[in-house]
Amino acid sequence: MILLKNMQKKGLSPVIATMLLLLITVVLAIIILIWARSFIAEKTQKDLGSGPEAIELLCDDIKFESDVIVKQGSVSVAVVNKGSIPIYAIELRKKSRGFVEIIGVAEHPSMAIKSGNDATLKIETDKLIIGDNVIVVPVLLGESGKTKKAYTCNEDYGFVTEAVL
Amino acid sequence: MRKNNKGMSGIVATVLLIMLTIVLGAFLAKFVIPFVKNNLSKSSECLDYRDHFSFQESFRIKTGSIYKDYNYNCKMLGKYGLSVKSGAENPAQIAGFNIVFRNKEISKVVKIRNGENTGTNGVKIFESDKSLKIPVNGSVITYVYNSNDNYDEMDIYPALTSGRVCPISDSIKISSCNQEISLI
Repeated sequence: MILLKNMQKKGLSPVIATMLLLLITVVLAIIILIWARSFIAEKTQKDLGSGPEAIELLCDDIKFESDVIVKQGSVSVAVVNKGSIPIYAIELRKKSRGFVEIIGVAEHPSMAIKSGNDATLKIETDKLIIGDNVIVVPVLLGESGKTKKAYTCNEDYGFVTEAVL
Repeated sequence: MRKNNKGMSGIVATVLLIMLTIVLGAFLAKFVIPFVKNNLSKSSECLDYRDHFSFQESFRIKTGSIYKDYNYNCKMLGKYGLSVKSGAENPAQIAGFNIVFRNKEISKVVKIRNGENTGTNGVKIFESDKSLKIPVNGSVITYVYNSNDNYDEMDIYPALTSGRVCPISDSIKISSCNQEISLI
């Protein structure tokens, strides 16, 4: 009888054991989640009122026209936004036989050229001359996580024109 | 007879378990995590550069009042033209690219790296004697490669500063240059 009493072994109660297992699982899941997040780049998105959308998809809806005027030592880019997507900035590219060269980026002082508005943006450069083929590429402002990030649309969405006086 | 059931006290067992956990945690933090992280970043370092470089198939240029398309991915008299376009982003890890010229029988790898002297590996920038540079932020640069071999196609592979060459980014057939294009 005494021997039987001494052989009785106590352990964790099933409730505590279950709780411990759950706790370990949750902690491990959190560690893996935090670790894995550093490998996944955050996408740039833009919210126009109907929820955040991938910013590259919005480039498709941009409609604008542009004139590029060459002055001494600078270039003025007149932009008319005819679509519904605000244009944050423009990137000016010079196109010649065999090359596409980036001339510069001009931001709008009040954050964006809104729908139906126009603006003239200035780039200090002497790389352009009258008659040069240029592409005005729109730049949008989106959000990546909590930070604002500029996104340059593909050249195919740009406005092709000629530099004039 | 009473069986002797004495062993470690509960406190000593607990302290030992805690110490073991700390030692294991320290080992994981010091060796295992950096090892796995290093290998994971190596295996994923090419993910951002899958389509980084592409061949610009044509340049639409306005001459006078009409637009004309010019394709510089062509060959003439032992010279090959290639117009390379970069992606919009300009990651610091890009060192240049490899071009593989090939036909059904042979292939040749030509390395183009930023800052190398003109003429390195038989490559120069079209109509320029400046040192080699690679296109950035969506720009396009046309190169001329000298070779007496006859190739039909070329592929482009991004090369990273780590020395790694990423998988193929683009491929194009090489046609004969039309009469309006001169690579000489």
